[in-house]
Amino acid sequence: MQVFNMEGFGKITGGQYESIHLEGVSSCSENIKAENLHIEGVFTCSGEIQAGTMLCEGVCDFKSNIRVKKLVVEGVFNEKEGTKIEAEEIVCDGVIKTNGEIYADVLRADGCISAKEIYGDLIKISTHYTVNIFKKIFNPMKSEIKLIEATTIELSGVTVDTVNGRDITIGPNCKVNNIDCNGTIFIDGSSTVGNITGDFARREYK
Amino acid sequence: MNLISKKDLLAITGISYGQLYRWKRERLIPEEWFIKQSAYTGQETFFPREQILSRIKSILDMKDLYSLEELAKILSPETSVATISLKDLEEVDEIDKRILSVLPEVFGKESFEFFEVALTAAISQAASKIGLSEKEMKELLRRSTFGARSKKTTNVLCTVFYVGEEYHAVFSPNPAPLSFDSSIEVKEQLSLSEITDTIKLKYKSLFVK
Repeated sequence: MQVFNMEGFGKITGGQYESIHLEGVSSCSENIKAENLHIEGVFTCSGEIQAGTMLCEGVCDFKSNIRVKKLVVEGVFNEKEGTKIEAEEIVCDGVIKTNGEIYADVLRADGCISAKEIYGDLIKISTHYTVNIFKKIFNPMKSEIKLIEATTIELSGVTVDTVNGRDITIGPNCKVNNIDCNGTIFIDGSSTVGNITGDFARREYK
Repeated sequence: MNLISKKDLLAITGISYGQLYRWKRERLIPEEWFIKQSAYTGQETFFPREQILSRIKSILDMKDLYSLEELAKILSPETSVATISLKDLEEVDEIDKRILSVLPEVFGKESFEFFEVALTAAISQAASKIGLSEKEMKELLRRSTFGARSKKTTNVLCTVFYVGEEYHAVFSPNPAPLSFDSSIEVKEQLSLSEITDTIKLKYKSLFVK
């Protein structure tokens, strides 16, 4: 299988690759399958992506389903068409913005996630909230999700409409409209929570 | 429509959200089984009750024996063998032996696609539950093939009904059962996907490539 490296401007043909490394500005309009996909520049793809490991250090724009074993986002990962992102593991220190659904066994985000729905086993999102008005103007990104549903959920600095889970930790500076919990729950005093339903026990923060 | 809510499903089966969504991601549970409906709490997800409970039981029974990838291969309709011979079908307990003799005439060949085997097993099962004679069972199979072939998928619901002193079958997308007027007596409803799961797991060597 091919190893494909590209710098500068260019277009990548769809197909199966061992590894792809893209620097510069590149695009693809076909489906790609690769063991390793590493993006350092700007990449736009309208085809589907299947990969073992995908590392996004630049700015990526996708319009079709993404199915990977591990996704690491240190840059900006945009999905505009409301499709699916599926992964065993997602690590986000940058920004993930999607109009669709994210399915991950484990999702750990210290950056920012904006999504319609997130489903999984362990979902941990910690978006750093700032009271600095200067920073708020120039860095207005915040994590906003319509629905998070997982076995274990830990959130801080996140705005969510609905959270459904077994063990839920609502950390500082969250805003959640509805929670359904069938396990244990912790809610930080600085967070705002609407309705809570389910069979749960309150616990200390761990 | 016999549906079960996601919440009730997790409570009854004891599985977690993580397991449910991992199995969905691994294609062990078809996407079309996740049915979103409006409820007083907002949008809720429901599943076809019998099919999802049967599938989860299969997964729980087999998950320590096979990897999720292998299980997906076994349960997926796309990985069924191309054709199965009449001789191999004699090993399948779910198919009434009396019906085997008419299969070449009904399907016009000596070896059969997995979909045709599933249909035969469904008619056998319906015949056993309703108490059809051998002649009625064979006639029902003959009548069913036309409608079933137009669907060409095992993800259908087979409804057997009685009208005009004859038994007939209609095939509808799973999990949408049909409603009939009062002159039609529904005798049995079977999910072909449930039947195929059972057969593929039980007779892996015959049906999985």
